[in-house]
Amino acid sequence: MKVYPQLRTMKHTSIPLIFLALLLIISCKSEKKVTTYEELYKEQPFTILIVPTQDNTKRLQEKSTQDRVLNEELDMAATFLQQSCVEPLVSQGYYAIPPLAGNTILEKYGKTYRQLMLDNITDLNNQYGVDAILLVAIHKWMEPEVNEVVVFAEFTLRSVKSGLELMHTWVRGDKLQPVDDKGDPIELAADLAFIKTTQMKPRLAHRCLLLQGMSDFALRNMPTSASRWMFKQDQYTSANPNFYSFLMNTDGSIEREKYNEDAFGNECFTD
Amino acid sequence: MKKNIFWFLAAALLTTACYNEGTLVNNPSPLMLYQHKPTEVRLLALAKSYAEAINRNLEDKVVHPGQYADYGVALAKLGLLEQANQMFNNEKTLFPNSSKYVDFLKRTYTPNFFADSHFDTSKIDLKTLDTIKVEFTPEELAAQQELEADPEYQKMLKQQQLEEKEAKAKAVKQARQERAKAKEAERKAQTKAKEKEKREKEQAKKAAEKERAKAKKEEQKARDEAKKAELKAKEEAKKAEQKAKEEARKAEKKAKQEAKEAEIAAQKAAEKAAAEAKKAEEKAQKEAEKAEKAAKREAEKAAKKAQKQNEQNTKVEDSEEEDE
Repeated sequence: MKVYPQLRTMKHTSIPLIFLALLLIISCKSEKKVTTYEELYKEQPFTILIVPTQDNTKRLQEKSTQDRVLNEELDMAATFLQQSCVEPLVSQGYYAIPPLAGNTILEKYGKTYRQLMLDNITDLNNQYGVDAILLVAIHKWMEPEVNEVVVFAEFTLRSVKSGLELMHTWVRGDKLQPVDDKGDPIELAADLAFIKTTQMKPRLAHRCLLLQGMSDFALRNMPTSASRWMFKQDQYTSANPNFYSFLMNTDGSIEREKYNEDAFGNECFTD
Repeated sequence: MKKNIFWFLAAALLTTACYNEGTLVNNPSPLMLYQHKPTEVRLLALAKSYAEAINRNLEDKVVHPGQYADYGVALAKLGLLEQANQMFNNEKTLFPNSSKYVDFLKRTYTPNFFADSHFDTSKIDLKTLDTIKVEFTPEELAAQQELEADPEYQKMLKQQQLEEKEAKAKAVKQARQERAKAKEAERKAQTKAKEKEKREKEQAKKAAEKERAKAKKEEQKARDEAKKAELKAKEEAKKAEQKAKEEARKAEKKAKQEAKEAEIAAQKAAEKAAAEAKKAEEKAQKEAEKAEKAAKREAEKAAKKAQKQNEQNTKVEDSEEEDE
């Protein structure tokens, strides 16, 4: 087929243009951080206290050691979630009070997760210099397949001074593992490296990896701290939706999609 | 959407790369285990993990916020109060915004050293931690014994060991397969590269041949053109020669004509000169005649005069004679 040179040139120039236009549409469609995190931009918190994970997962009745081990696994995964929130916050320029110090403060402060969520907590700023608290909760764990683990989590950033919610995200995390010919799950190289470093049991490691990925994704989307020079530019980058699913594929790739609020509620809060 | 995520991740990675504060702990396990069930054994492991992470961050010339504070708490819980206080001071010095809660930690864990603000951010000597001897608590031991006595647990342990073994074997197999795959891929890549090289060589050869043919063609063309030019030049030279000859002929003719004309003119001039000479001769003759005539006349006149004189003289003589 004869291709006219003009047509060829048009093809070459139009493809990147179309791509750019699509990107523009995508970025316009998603909310900007400046609108989603309006309160956070007003308050500009710096020191954040991470509250130990509220684990709302149902526990098995410990009829056997296996049940006890599974319960322990879930407990450990919940504790892991608290520490996995430190790095993303720090990378965004915030000062995250580390877990041991944070827990000491909270032990002394003596308020429950619910109280921290609802009560007046201005004392935390006066006494300990905390600007905001990060409340994380795990609502449900599921294992639909032998190579799949699903978790429903909630991340809330609450201002200590005004008591307002500066960020509130619900995430449905899903981690898939590749399987061999027999259908048994096999480890990805990255997962294996994590297992080797942490000496965790593979099942726990997968839960932890999923939680780490989720907290990383949720908290790295938070606006850059006002202490950073990118603070102003970052206001116009796109923000995560309030409800979204986070999928770690069998090949290690990550997919994120906006999730329907009702579907999330139905799946998360019904058995 | 996938593209969006890719860019988001790339941006996140870039942000992380630009603002690397190291990591809080090298290995998340000790912290998780300690928070799950705080025991001395786990606490010591956690303190070691913090110390290693701090040392590594110092090597990378980065400081992780909160790292000294948490390490201080771990040291205080292990009974190393002076060192703990120093760590708290380190945190306060490096991150002034932490002073309120660090003061609280100091009051809680190291009240006797509260006034001491000595800080030292040099590398941590891990040997200090090695000297600490920790023992399993009776509960830990009891739990361990209970677990060990539980046949189901033993069974599970065995199963887990088996699973781990299998996982390891699988990993080894997988690694081997991956290596084989990589080798195969490498071999394929090599073959591909060789083929490509061959293709490229052939292409280069063809191109060279083409180039040669083109050069030959061009050479031939140049030769033809040179020949043509030569012929043209010859023709032009011939023409020029002819033209020159013609011009010479013309010039000769012209010269001849001019010579003829000059001859004619000379002849005419000669004729004219002759005519003029004749005329002059004639004139001279006429003038001579005239002069002769005039001389004759003069002579005649003189003769007449002389005669008259003679006559007069005769008369006078006569008169005189007469007078006499």
